[in-house]
Amino acid sequence: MIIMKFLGGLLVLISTSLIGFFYGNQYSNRLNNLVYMEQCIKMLETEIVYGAVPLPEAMLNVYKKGNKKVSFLFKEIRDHIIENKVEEVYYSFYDLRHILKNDLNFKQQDIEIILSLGRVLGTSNREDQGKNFQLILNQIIILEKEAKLERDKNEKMFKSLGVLVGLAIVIILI
Amino acid sequence: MNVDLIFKIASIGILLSILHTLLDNAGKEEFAFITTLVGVVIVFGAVIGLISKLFDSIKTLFQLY
Repeated sequence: MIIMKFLGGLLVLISTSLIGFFYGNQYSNRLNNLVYMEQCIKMLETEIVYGAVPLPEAMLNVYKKGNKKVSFLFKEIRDHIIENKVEEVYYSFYDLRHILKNDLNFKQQDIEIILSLGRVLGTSNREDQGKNFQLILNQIIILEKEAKLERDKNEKMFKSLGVLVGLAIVIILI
Repeated sequence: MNVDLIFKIASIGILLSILHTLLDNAGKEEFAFITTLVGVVIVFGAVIGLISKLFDSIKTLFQLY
Protein backbone atom coordinates (compact mmCIF):
# COMPACT_ATOMS: atom_id res chain seq x y z
CA MET A 1 0.00 0.00 0.00
CA ILE A 2 2.77 2.42 0.95
CA ILE A 3 4.52 1.64 -2.33
CA MET A 4 1.40 2.55 -4.29
CA LYS A 5 1.15 5.85 -2.41
CA PHE A 6 4.79 6.60 -3.09
CA LEU A 7 4.43 5.74 -6.78
CA GLY A 8 1.32 7.88 -7.20
CA GLY A 9 2.96 10.81 -5.46
CA LEU A 10 5.98 10.47 -7.68
CA LEU A 11 3.81 10.44 -10.81
CA VAL A 12 1.97 13.61 -9.73
CA LEU A 13 5.26 15.30 -8.89
CA ILE A 14 6.88 14.39 -12.21
CA SER A 15 3.90 15.48 -14.29
CA THR A 16 3.49 18.86 -12.61
CA SER A 17 7.24 19.48 -12.82
CA LEU A 18 7.16 18.71 -16.53
CA ILE A 19 4.19 21.04 -17.08
CA GLY A 20 6.04 23.81 -15.24
CA PHE A 21 9.22 23.10 -17.17
CA PHE A 22 7.54 23.29 -20.59
CA TYR A 23 5.60 26.39 -19.62
CA GLY A 24 8.79 28.11 -18.50
CA ASN A 25 10.68 26.96 -21.56
CA GLN A 26 8.29 28.81 -23.86
CA TYR A 27 9.84 32.10 -22.78
CA SER A 28 13.44 31.19 -23.57
CA ASN A 29 12.30 29.53 -26.81
CA ARG A 30 10.63 32.75 -27.90
CA LEU A 31 13.77 34.77 -27.18
CA ASN A 32 16.06 32.30 -29.00
CA ASN A 33 13.78 32.12 -32.00
CA LEU A 34 13.56 35.92 -32.18
CA VAL A 35 17.36 36.13 -32.23
CA TYR A 36 17.57 33.49 -34.99
CA MET A 37 14.82 35.28 -36.90
CA GLU A 38 16.76 38.52 -36.68
CA GLN A 39 19.85 36.84 -38.11
CA CYS A 40 17.82 35.29 -40.93
CA ILE A 41 16.22 38.61 -41.83
CA LYS A 42 19.63 40.26 -41.83
CA MET A 43 20.85 37.62 -44.26
CA LEU A 44 17.81 38.13 -46.44
CA GLU A 45 18.45 41.87 -46.40
CA THR A 46 22.00 41.35 -47.57
CA GLU A 47 20.85 38.99 -50.31
CA ILE A 48 18.24 41.43 -51.58
CA VAL A 49 19.77 44.86 -51.06
CA TYR A 50 23.43 44.14 -51.84
CA GLY A 51 23.27 40.92 -53.83
CA ALA A 52 20.12 41.66 -55.85
CA VAL A 53 19.33 37.94 -55.87
CA PRO A 54 15.81 36.89 -56.99
CA LEU A 55 13.53 36.19 -54.06
CA PRO A 56 13.22 32.36 -54.27
CA GLU A 57 16.98 31.96 -54.53
CA ALA A 58 17.56 34.44 -51.72
CA MET A 59 15.16 32.48 -49.53
CA LEU A 60 16.94 29.24 -50.31
CA ASN A 61 20.29 30.81 -49.46
CA VAL A 62 18.92 32.04 -46.15
CA TYR A 63 17.60 28.56 -45.43
CA LYS A 64 21.01 27.05 -46.11
CA LYS A 65 22.99 29.59 -44.09
CA GLY A 66 20.70 30.27 -41.15
CA ASN A 67 19.95 28.29 -38.04
CA LYS A 68 17.65 25.48 -39.16
CA LYS A 69 15.37 25.95 -36.16
CA VAL A 70 13.98 29.09 -37.76
CA SER A 71 15.31 29.21 -41.30
CA PHE A 72 13.12 26.29 -42.42
CA LEU A 73 10.41 28.95 -42.59
CA PHE A 74 12.13 30.53 -45.56
CA LYS A 75 12.25 27.24 -47.40
CA GLU A 76 8.54 26.76 -46.77
CA ILE A 77 7.84 30.25 -48.08
CA ARG A 78 9.96 29.60 -51.16
CA ASP A 79 8.18 26.31 -51.88
CA HIS A 80 4.85 28.02 -51.39
CA ILE A 81 5.77 30.80 -53.81
CA ILE A 82 6.96 28.37 -56.47
CA GLU A 83 4.08 25.91 -56.12
CA ASN A 84 1.13 28.24 -55.82
CA LYS A 85 2.12 31.24 -57.93
CA VAL A 86 0.37 33.65 -55.56
CA GLU A 87 0.37 37.26 -56.65
CA GLU A 88 1.84 38.53 -53.37
CA VAL A 89 4.49 37.08 -51.07
CA TYR A 90 2.31 38.13 -48.17
CA TYR A 91 -0.02 35.16 -48.75
CA SER A 92 2.91 32.76 -48.40
CA PHE A 93 3.83 34.39 -45.10
CA TYR A 94 0.22 34.36 -44.01
CA ASP A 95 0.07 30.63 -44.62
CA LEU A 96 2.82 30.06 -42.04
CA ARG A 97 1.35 31.88 -39.09
CA HIS A 98 0.20 28.70 -37.33
CA ILE A 99 3.78 27.38 -37.47
CA LEU A 100 5.02 30.67 -36.04
CA LYS A 101 2.51 30.50 -33.23
CA ASN A 102 2.61 26.82 -32.29
CA ASP A 103 6.12 25.60 -33.08
CA LEU A 104 8.21 28.70 -32.46
CA ASN A 105 6.29 30.14 -29.47
CA PHE A 106 5.96 33.57 -31.07
CA LYS A 107 3.40 35.97 -29.72
CA GLN A 108 0.85 37.83 -31.80
CA GLN A 109 2.96 41.00 -32.00
CA ASP A 110 6.02 39.07 -33.23
CA ILE A 111 3.90 37.35 -35.86
CA GLU A 112 2.48 40.67 -37.07
CA ILE A 113 5.98 42.08 -37.56
CA ILE A 114 7.16 39.01 -39.43
CA LEU A 115 4.03 39.16 -41.58
CA SER A 116 4.73 42.81 -42.33
CA LEU A 117 7.99 41.61 -43.89
CA GLY A 118 5.83 39.70 -46.36
CA ARG A 119 4.04 42.88 -47.36
CA VAL A 120 7.33 44.57 -48.15
CA LEU A 121 9.14 41.86 -50.09
CA GLY A 122 9.02 42.20 -53.82
CA THR A 123 6.74 45.20 -53.91
CA SER A 124 9.09 48.12 -54.51
CA ASN A 125 12.67 49.01 -55.39
CA ARG A 126 15.76 48.02 -53.47
CA GLU A 127 16.29 51.21 -51.46
CA ASP A 128 12.75 51.17 -50.24
CA GLN A 129 12.97 47.52 -49.26
CA GLY A 130 16.26 48.21 -47.48
CA LYS A 131 14.60 50.92 -45.38
CA ASN A 132 11.73 48.62 -44.56
CA PHE A 133 14.18 45.91 -43.56
CA GLN A 134 15.85 48.35 -41.16
CA LEU A 135 12.48 49.19 -39.63
CA ILE A 136 11.54 45.55 -39.17
CA LEU A 137 14.93 44.70 -37.69
CA ASN A 138 14.59 47.57 -35.22
CA GLN A 139 11.19 46.33 -34.16
CA ILE A 140 12.49 42.79 -33.72
CA ILE A 141 15.33 44.07 -31.54
CA ILE A 142 12.81 45.89 -29.35
CA LEU A 143 10.78 42.67 -29.11
CA GLU A 144 13.92 40.76 -28.17
CA LYS A 145 14.53 43.12 -25.26
CA GLU A 146 10.96 42.68 -24.13
CA ALA A 147 11.19 38.89 -24.48
CA LYS A 148 14.39 38.88 -22.44
CA LEU A 149 12.75 40.83 -19.63
CA GLU A 150 9.78 38.51 -19.69
CA ARG A 151 11.99 35.42 -19.65
CA ASP A 152 14.04 36.63 -16.69
CA LYS A 153 10.84 37.34 -14.83
CA ASN A 154 8.82 34.24 -15.61
CA GLU A 155 10.98 31.28 -16.59
CA LYS A 156 12.44 30.52 -13.17
CA MET A 157 9.13 31.17 -11.49
CA PHE A 158 7.18 28.71 -13.64
CA LYS A 159 9.84 26.02 -13.31
CA SER A 160 9.90 26.14 -9.52
CA LEU A 161 6.15 26.67 -9.37
CA GLY A 162 5.59 23.34 -11.13
CA VAL A 163 7.69 21.41 -8.62
CA LEU A 164 6.19 23.20 -5.62
CA VAL A 165 2.59 22.76 -6.73
CA GLY A 166 3.29 19.05 -7.26
CA LEU A 167 4.70 18.81 -3.74
CA ALA A 168 1.66 20.61 -2.35
CA ILE A 169 -0.75 18.23 -4.11
CA VAL A 170 1.18 15.20 -2.84
CA ILE A 171 1.22 16.48 0.74
CA ILE A 172 -2.48 17.31 0.68
CA LEU A 173 -3.40 13.92 -0.76
CA ILE A 174 -1.27 11.77 1.56
CA MET B 1 -4.42 11.17 18.80
CA ASN B 2 -3.39 11.53 15.21
CA VAL B 3 0.10 13.01 15.03
CA ASP B 4 0.34 12.72 11.24
CA LEU B 5 -2.06 15.62 10.84
CA ILE B 6 0.35 17.95 12.64
CA PHE B 7 3.19 17.00 10.33
CA LYS B 8 0.93 17.45 7.31
CA ILE B 9 -0.10 20.92 8.39
CA ALA B 10 3.53 21.81 9.15
CA SER B 11 4.67 20.69 5.68
CA ILE B 12 1.85 22.61 4.02
CA GLY B 13 2.94 25.67 5.99
CA ILE B 14 6.57 25.34 4.89
CA LEU B 15 5.53 24.85 1.27
CA LEU B 16 3.20 27.85 1.39
CA SER B 17 5.92 30.09 2.77
CA ILE B 18 8.22 29.06 -0.10
CA LEU B 19 5.46 29.61 -2.67
CA HIS B 20 4.69 33.00 -1.17
CA THR B 21 8.30 34.19 -1.38
CA LEU B 22 8.64 32.79 -4.90
CA LEU B 23 5.56 34.54 -6.22
CA ASP B 24 6.43 37.72 -4.36
CA ASN B 25 9.87 37.81 -5.96
CA ALA B 26 8.35 37.23 -9.39
CA GLY B 27 6.21 40.33 -8.88
CA LYS B 28 2.90 38.52 -8.63
CA GLU B 29 1.81 39.71 -5.19
CA GLU B 30 -1.87 39.02 -5.75
CA PHE B 31 -1.20 35.38 -6.63
CA ALA B 32 1.01 35.06 -3.55
CA PHE B 33 -1.88 36.30 -1.45
CA ILE B 34 -4.33 33.93 -3.15
CA THR B 35 -2.07 30.89 -2.59
CA THR B 36 -1.70 31.76 1.08
CA LEU B 37 -5.47 32.07 1.37
CA VAL B 38 -6.03 28.74 -0.38
CA GLY B 39 -3.51 27.09 1.94
CA VAL B 40 -5.29 28.46 5.01
CA VAL B 41 -8.62 27.17 3.66
CA ILE B 42 -7.15 23.72 3.00
CA VAL B 43 -5.69 23.49 6.50
CA PHE B 44 -9.01 24.62 7.97
CA GLY B 45 -10.77 21.94 5.96
CA ALA B 46 -8.43 19.38 7.47
CA VAL B 47 -8.94 20.46 11.07
CA ILE B 48 -12.60 21.55 11.05
CA GLY B 49 -13.81 18.08 12.03
CA LEU B 50 -11.47 18.01 15.00
CA ILE B 51 -12.57 21.48 16.09
CA SER B 52 -16.23 20.48 16.01
CA LYS B 53 -15.35 17.37 18.01
CA LEU B 54 -13.61 19.60 20.57
CA PHE B 55 -16.71 21.78 20.96
CA ASP B 56 -18.87 18.70 21.30
CA SER B 57 -16.69 17.36 24.09
CA ILE B 58 -16.73 20.75 25.82
CA LYS B 59 -20.51 20.72 25.64
CA THR B 60 -20.70 17.26 27.18
CA LEU B 61 -18.08 18.14 29.80
CA PHE B 62 -19.98 21.15 31.13
CA GLN B 63 -23.36 19.60 30.38
CA LEU B 64 -24.55 22.45 28.12
CA TYR B 65 -27.18 20.50 26.23
